[in-house]
Amino acid sequence: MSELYAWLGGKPLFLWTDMLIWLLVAVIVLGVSYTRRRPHLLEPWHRVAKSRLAMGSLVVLLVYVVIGLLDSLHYRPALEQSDQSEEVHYAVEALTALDWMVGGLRESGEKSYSAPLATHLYVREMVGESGGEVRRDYPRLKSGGAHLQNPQQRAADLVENSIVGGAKGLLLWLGIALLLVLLLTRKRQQISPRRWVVEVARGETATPWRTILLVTAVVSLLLMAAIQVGVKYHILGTDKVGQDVFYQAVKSIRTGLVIGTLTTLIMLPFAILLGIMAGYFRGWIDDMIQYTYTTLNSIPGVLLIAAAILMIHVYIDTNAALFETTEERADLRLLFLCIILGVTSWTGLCRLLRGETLKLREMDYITAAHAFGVKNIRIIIRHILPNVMHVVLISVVLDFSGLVLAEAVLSYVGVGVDPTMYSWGNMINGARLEMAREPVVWWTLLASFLFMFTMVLAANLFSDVVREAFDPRVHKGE
Amino acid sequence: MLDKPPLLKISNLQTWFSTREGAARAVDGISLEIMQGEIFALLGESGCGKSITALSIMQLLPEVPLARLRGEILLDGESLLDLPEQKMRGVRGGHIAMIFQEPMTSLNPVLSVGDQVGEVLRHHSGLRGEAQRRRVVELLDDVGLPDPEQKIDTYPHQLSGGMKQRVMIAIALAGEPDLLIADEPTTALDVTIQAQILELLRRLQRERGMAILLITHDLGVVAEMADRVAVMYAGQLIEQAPRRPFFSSPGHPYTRRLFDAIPDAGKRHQPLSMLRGAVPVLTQEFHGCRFRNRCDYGWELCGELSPEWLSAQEGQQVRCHLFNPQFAERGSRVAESSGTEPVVERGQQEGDGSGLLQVRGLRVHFPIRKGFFHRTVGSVQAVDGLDLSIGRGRTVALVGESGCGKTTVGKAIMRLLEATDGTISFDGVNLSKLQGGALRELRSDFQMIFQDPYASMNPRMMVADIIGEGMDALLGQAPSPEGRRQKIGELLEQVGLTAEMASRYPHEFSGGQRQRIAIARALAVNPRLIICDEPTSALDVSVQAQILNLLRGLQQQQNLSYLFITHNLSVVSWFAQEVAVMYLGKVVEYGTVDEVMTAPRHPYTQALLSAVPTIDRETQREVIRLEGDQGSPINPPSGCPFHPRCPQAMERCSSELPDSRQISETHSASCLLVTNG
Repeated sequence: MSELYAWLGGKPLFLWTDMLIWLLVAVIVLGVSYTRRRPHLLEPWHRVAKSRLAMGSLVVLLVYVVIGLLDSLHYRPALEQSDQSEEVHYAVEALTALDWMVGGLRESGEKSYSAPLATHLYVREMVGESGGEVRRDYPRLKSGGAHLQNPQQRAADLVENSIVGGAKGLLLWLGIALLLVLLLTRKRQQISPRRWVVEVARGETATPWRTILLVTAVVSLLLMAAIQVGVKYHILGTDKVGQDVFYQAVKSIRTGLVIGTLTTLIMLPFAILLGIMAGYFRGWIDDMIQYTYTTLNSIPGVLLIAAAILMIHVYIDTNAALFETTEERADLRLLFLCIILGVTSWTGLCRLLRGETLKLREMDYITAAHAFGVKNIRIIIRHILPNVMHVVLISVVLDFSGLVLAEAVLSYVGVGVDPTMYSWGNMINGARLEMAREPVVWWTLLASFLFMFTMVLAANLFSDVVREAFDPRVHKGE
Repeated sequence: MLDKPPLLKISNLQTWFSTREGAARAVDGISLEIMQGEIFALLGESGCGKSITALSIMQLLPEVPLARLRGEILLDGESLLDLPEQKMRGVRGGHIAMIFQEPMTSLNPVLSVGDQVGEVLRHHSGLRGEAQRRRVVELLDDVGLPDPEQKIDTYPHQLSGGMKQRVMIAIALAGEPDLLIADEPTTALDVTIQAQILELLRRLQRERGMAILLITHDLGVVAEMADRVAVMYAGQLIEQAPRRPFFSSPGHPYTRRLFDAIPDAGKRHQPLSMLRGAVPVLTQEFHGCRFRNRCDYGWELCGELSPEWLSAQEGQQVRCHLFNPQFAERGSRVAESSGTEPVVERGQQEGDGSGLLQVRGLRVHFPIRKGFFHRTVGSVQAVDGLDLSIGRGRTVALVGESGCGKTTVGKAIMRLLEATDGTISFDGVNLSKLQGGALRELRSDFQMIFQDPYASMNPRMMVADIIGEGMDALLGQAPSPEGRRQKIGELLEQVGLTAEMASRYPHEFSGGQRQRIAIARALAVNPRLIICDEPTSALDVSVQAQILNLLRGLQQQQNLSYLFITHNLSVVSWFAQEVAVMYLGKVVEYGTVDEVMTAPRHPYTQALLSAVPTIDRETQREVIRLEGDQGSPINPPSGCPFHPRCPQAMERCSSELPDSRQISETHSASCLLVTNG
């Protein structure tokens, strides 16, 4: 094993949240393949697939998800061997597949603040002139625009790089589009690629491929241009310790996704089990569950979260030996944040499911099942659970963006994720002081705002369409 | 009458909706005229477009994309389709008012009755304050609401269904309309209440000289009410006639089929006439007659040419080629054949009648719990001392108005509800004592069919799994997948479906087909007794005939017993051998069909039978009008539960609970007026 790691130049690091995220991916893949074989389950998804809004925002969300997933493959790179000893040492700081791909961004650190696309530092420093004379000035950046002989060429260089990046983006998009044409026309033999392209261009296809391709074009142009410019400049500047803000914002995507998805994953069993039990069995079981969630609901959530995070903090400090890397420490805190958010937020869905089950248990097919002597557990699994799944799905999708925003607020208050972890909340927290500084450092706040806003907006638009597609009231007439 | 211009004139109205499959021709070129002060009935089965016609007149069409709205609707010479919305608002309520089927949802629950009537008054006549209140009281009095002075401040939830419908009518009358559109005004009501409401509508129409457009599927209601009748089928009118010729000699083959499909005592020994096939899909472009795929008399011409209006007699007009003088010969042949329905099956097998189910003194009380610790503060006495017995291969009908506890009886026998008291013995085994596994072993012997074919199966399960559920749970032995599939296929064919339907989902089936699947599900465990809880009341008459024929056929093949729970008395006289009439949790009369239906002894049964609208207008019957509503099972009246409404009540009735008195060996009634015979 260790030979393999040595040969690869790194050792995989299995973090809890990584494993849970990939478990979730596996569950979704299984769910998709299960749904594909059942036309009545597929039917609302067809409605989603026909919505231009949903498919456009789905493309944006997918980009986020891919970045988040790449960022969820951690490894510890092997350290350079100084002597010829057998033992290979691995770095304390873990990297991810994403870091490996955009290595240039991570390593280009500066001394302190620098504005977006700048060639000079944002603060004055003592600069030693060639004549031995020392004066205060804005020094050149170590990596931002370092390839330029003369900073005056910056504008031309930026334009050139954007064009090159744009061209690369165009090529990428063409590749994607070509792949799509091949895949789709192979699936449906009767349509020729040429005709399909014409139909897409006119926007006549049932699935809004034109919208999908347009959004993909915008995204791939932006992506390639950002990479092209990003390795030479700091697109969104650097922060106080000279770290690239663009890189930070990209790394924060994973944190947001983890909070938004794992929290619901943790809360679902509580909500589903208790909600259905309360509605189905009624009587004292119902009373107990109702009193539980009424009580839980009346404790301020922030209080519980702060207490839990504090406890985890103490635990980590007293058991420092358990954690080999900083990532593991931060990861444990993130996991517990998800758990505690999940524990405090299951009540809403639980209440919805209880009501839905109360309605369902009076349906004739449940009575018919009772008449056949079918056992309760079987009735719940076969009759009730499948018929409340749309409620679960709608609430999961709607909760997602709320949780991403909640993370930002909690981190800002100081009870969120570990301060060493990249997250939009931490970025905003840091920006609090920078906004009060003279001259103002505005780009950290802007970066976190842009990234978070895009994701939450896309998620909200998508969830809106999903909710409408699954809402039985909207489609009664059909 | 002809010299006056019509009040409402619709010519060639087309209302098409755009759907994914193309334009649905919900209303496709109908023309009709309604005169001042007449009752015009629009008759048709569900989905034929009769409600859409009404909504087109009111300009209240649902918010779905319209593919086409053409034609002309003239009210007093004014074209409604061209009126701007603002003027249309004055027409609605002021000239045309509408009452709906469901009184429960047509009233706003947070406004008092007076406010809701007053709102219309304020809008249409500008009445305010004391004057408005006086007028509201007048209106409520006019629609027969008792104590209008007090009732004006009540809220809808404090009123019964019949009262709510009266309030709805008062709201409709507030604007002094010339035309009242009544869309199935009594379908959701019990027969005795229906009789009250129909009488009220007739009286109001007479007094005010108002025209009524009555939309209904019930031939009986049409016979009671209408001056003229139009029959609608698949978006078109196919027959128009004054009432008398319509009922004495219905013209169109479809109309005749409708008449034949109605069960009654006279058809007891023959299967009901059925319509084959289904209503054509409305999204297609029609060529020829729309009824031809289901018509017994059609020939090539029917597929090529859409029939025009042809007159038959006395103002009766029919859209059928048979009435074209050119084809007079065919027409006369049809007229002959229609009278003699071939009796395919021999008279029904009566079963050996030996007792299968015995119910003695059944009581089901639901405790009413209140407060933090759920103290029992009272009880709903849903069923209170009920005796019943069903023989092998026999059908017992349990008849009563809604809320009398008949469904509770069915569920208690199924042991889906715990009986408070009494014994239920099935084939000698006392069911009420059985628990757990022992009960589960017996469960396959009795099964249930439900009223609502849409709620009775899980929409997320395949038909095969729905039918197989009982087999898996009760028949114990796990049959091979092949054997299971074969059994399910056989069951589906037994109920008139095909084996390949097993892999479909419920939403792909119509109401009648779903009810067949529900029957197959019950049959899957080889029951001996099936409890049918209003199995046909959600279905159209022609589909009802199919299901009833199927149930009877199965009874003859498998010697099944049925407990048939229903409120539809004409079905009872066709289908059952014995009848139990229930009122407020008790059986008030019990006997064979002939005894109960032809010579009822209990005043309630008499009133119930007289309230049913019949097609046969020749036998002028006297409707025994029942006052008020059924009492509350929480606090039932003392003595005889029926005495507050009984037209023949005596003083003794309020203190003395009558026991069951034998009239003949099979006939008994619980009334002090009946003397042991």
